[in-house]
Amino acid sequence: MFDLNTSSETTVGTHDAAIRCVEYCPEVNLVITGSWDTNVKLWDPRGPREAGSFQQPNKVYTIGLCGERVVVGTANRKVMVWDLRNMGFAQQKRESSLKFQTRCIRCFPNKQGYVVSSIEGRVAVEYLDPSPEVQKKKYAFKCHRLKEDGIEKIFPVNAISFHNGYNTFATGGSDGFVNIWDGFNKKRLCQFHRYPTSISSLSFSNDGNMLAISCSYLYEQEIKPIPENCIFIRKVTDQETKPK
Amino acid sequence: MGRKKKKQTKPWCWYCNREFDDEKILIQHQKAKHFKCPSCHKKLYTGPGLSIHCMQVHKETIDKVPNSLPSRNNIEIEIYGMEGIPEEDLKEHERQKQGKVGPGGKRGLSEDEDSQDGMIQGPPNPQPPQGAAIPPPGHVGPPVHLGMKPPGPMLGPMMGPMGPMGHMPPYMGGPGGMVGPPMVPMGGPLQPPGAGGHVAVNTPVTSQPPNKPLFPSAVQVSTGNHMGQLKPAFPAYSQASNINPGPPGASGVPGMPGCGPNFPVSQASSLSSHDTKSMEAKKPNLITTVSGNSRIIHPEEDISLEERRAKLPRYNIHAPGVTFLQPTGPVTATAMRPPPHGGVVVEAPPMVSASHMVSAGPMVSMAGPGGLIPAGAIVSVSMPQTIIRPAMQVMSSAPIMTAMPMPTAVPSLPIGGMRPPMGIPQVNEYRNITIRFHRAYDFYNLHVRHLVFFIYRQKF
Repeated sequence: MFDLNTSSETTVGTHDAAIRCVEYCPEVNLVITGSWDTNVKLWDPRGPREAGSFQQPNKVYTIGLCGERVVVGTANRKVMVWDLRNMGFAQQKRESSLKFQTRCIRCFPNKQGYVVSSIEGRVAVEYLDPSPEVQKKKYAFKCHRLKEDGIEKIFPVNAISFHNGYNTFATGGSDGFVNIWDGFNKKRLCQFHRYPTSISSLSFSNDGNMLAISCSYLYEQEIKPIPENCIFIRKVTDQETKPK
Repeated sequence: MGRKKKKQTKPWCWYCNREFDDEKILIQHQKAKHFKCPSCHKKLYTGPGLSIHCMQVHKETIDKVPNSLPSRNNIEIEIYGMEGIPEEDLKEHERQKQGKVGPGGKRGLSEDEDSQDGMIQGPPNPQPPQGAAIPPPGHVGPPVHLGMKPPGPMLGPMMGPMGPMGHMPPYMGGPGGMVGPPMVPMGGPLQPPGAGGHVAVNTPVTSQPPNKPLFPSAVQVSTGNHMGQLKPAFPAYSQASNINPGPPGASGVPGMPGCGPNFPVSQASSLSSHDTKSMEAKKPNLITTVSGNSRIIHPEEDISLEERRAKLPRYNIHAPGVTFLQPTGPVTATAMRPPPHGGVVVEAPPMVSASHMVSAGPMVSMAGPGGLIPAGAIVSVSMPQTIIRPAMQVMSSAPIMTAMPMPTAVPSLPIGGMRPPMGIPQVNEYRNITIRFHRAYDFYNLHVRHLVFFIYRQKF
């Protein structure tokens, strides 16, 4: 933990393996870390201590925050939904509806559900409400695929970021493309021009006027020379992000 | 009684035997699948209509209804929805349906037996918990759907057919394969299913070998590659479990406790569920590519790109001769490196840059060899006052700000000029970096001031 006021740094605690994701939940004021040691740990930023450690079914690959709920995606396509206010048990234990390794999970800002992406150019929109009527609405779609010389190249979908205002989301794939989707209407809103290499991370600004796009070769396949890493900050318009 | 009986037969398509919830959808299906002109994609209304259209417009004869079963491809018969289906076929269909209810019921029974088999405790036949879609009334077992070719996009309605899978014991782990590491925090296993919507049902461990699933669709899954041709009910799942299952029946493949059958569609692939421990011991599973003419751009092993990358020698801090120290810290490195795109520079004003260094402190030490920081320390450097300001050329010629920039003092960035490519050069390429905007601040008002970098330390 790094204190900006005193420029001092404290080690709050450790995981037994690399930490894959860090999130901060303002609702309950906790920092959440997920690690390849199969644990999710909670950290109280006020005091230098661990607020809890929770075993997950497998290595944690991604964490999405949904208000007080945490959606944890692990290896072997498990998805766990935890409630930060009651971490006694996992609220839901699911398996990703995608057939391939989970790459990224992000939640709708309206807290209705989440979006999972897999390495196999596919994205699923899922709902947290377990009732069958709501569950019926879930679906998955293909994206980030390129047809080259008659061979369809299927790329991992590495990054998802939601637009806070419109509940639309951007996905970034190893194909170097960024798409913006309207998950409720099952529409693609736009596709940006191709970026030099894999999109490794995406983030909308709080007000949704900007999209930060990080572009970094992820060793999916042999490429030489290794492309430069870069970040693009892109202003996005309503036309690109607002449901039509 | 009679009414009830009538309700059980759902509208179905004579051409392909597929069932629908609604005749309207059936008609849509027929128009899209069977009555579409192969030449101009015009949707006609009946088989004879299609044949006449092709004859008149394209001067072509059509002798078969497209996408129909071999015995049902007669183009002369005028069928629209459920109207016009020959009487004997109607009866035959009904008879088949009746016949299939029996096996379906039996299947349910055997499920129960299975789930009781290896279960710790708990009521048999766990109710499909939250995720499970309730099978539509009158819905019979999956065999009905097997030979059918539902169109891809109809995901919504297709959830119905997937419903019954919610009953399936999700893990076909090896015999006696139960409970890996104790999953302490998961209250699940001890809670009776159905208590509260969110409690996962105990994983019934079946004594079945993994390759003999209860379910036709699961059979398909385990046979893998045929899936492409068979076109099962749900396209998203059609690629079978391409993640190879572990050795069948291996005693070291425990079922995951606590991962109950929450998700109706998920079980098909549960063959590949392993425990982490056994995962680590074993070689990682492989991802097989879907089919001949498509390729997943991903390494073969079924581990995340980051894990694979972490194995590269350059990240192995124990390896000798690895130049790990060279960039003193990611952020400083960022500031020092020459820009990749000529002219587009990230410039941190000197003052800011100085505080950069300070705040980059943790990262500097982090980059040091051999874990100066205990493994797994979170180093989140969020610096509202230390700015990584992507200054474009316009900016760099502007007077450099020396004070901590206040919102008002920040010269507004030329928004119009913000379009890509605007590179901030050289994000640290040594670790996984996720960029997030600082939640607490409004990015637009404060401009590019609140990039929060979370840097994950990796231990090797």
